[in-house]
Amino acid sequence: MSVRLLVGTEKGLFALDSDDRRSRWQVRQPAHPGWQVYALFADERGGHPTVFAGLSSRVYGPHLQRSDDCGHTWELIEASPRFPEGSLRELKQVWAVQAGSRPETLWAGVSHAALFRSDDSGATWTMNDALEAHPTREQWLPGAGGLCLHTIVQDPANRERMFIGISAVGIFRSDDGGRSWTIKNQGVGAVLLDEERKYSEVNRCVHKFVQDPTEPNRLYQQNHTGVYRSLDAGDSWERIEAGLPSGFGFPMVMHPRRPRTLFVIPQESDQLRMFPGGRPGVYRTDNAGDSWRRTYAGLEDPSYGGVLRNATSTDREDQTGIYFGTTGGHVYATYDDGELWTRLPGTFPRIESLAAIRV
Amino acid sequence: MPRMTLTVPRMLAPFCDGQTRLSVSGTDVRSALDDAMARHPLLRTHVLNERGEVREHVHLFLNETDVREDLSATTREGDELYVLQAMSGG
Repeated sequence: MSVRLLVGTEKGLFALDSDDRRSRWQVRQPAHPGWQVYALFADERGGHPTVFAGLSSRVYGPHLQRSDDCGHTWELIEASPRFPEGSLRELKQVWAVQAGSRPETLWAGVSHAALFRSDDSGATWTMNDALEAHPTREQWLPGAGGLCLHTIVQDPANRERMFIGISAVGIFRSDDGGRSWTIKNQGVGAVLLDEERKYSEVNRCVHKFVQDPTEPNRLYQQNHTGVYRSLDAGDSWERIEAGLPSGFGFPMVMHPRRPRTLFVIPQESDQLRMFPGGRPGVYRTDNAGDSWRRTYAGLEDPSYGGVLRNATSTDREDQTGIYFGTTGGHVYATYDDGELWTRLPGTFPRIESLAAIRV
Repeated sequence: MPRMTLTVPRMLAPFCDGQTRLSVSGTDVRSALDDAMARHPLLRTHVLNERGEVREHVHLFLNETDVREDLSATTREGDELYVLQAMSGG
């Protein structure tokens, strides 16, 4: 089977198409020129993929589009997520689209922080009231990317349980399908260290988090203040940074087939936000973060960019393909879990999201 | 009711059946916009914010007059109404 890798950028959506062996790739013409693509989601639950793209513009705001032919043609979603008329908040960007517990259910995360649900495969969306009314909401503060709800995880083993991540607030868990939310930040370092905020429940800047596919109580998060894991579904967190050059970074990739194997791509610091040493360093752990090892091969070219939180993807091939895109517009792939990385063709605008689709 | 032409930037054409020039009717700017936005709901989303105000970096001109803050400005047959992206930055 071949793979289509959708590349969401600051200036439109591009595509890279592979041959059957993923040894040759071709760049396709962009769709949605001029629109930022912060969210991509390929819903492959029904076998035939449906792709959702969260498009936004600093001038014109956001909307969702969907494609039933792997991104060749797109359909506008007229009833895209939107705050109620008269709201003092403006919906800035769609940061995440994810599958819910039922085949027709989808979730979308946006900034300024809100969660939307669709029960008709994305045609219409309803705002989650429980999160709107959360008692800590007045304490929520934005990160550099705004007050964004950027990560949504539906627990595969428990349809009532799900997790969301909001910058710079933290991780929330629901055990009742989104009717209530509990903050799950215990053990995670605060971003703002003044006395008032240091001890608050929120003020924890999660950048990305993932769930172990076979042990759903195991969560891992890349946070502004470090890399953490939880063994109890988020009730408590501990640092896992042995072997990392920096605890700071944005993306985190869970291996879809190998439990306790994941990847992070650290940056120098929150002030520099560049690859340490001027080269992309992808770090892999095979033991749930007890130790990390740098993968080098194929990443030798000097590079001073970074990788944004949504700019990674994995495919569904027998030998899993793992992909990341840089702020400098380059895409890298590995088919042997990082032993060798290959740069794919093309130099794109700043890459904001990736999605690999089997075609 | 006066009929006029509404011109939108190319980025908004996907929400207007691919067109950048639309024929609209209205006795003032707001009703002319409403006419277009009733047919093209995502045009409303991208031109106006949640409070019905013109988005911060969008300009609105009736012929050569800036009507961004004056959606009640009276329109006449044959007017030209423009949605423009504000020029800002370098």
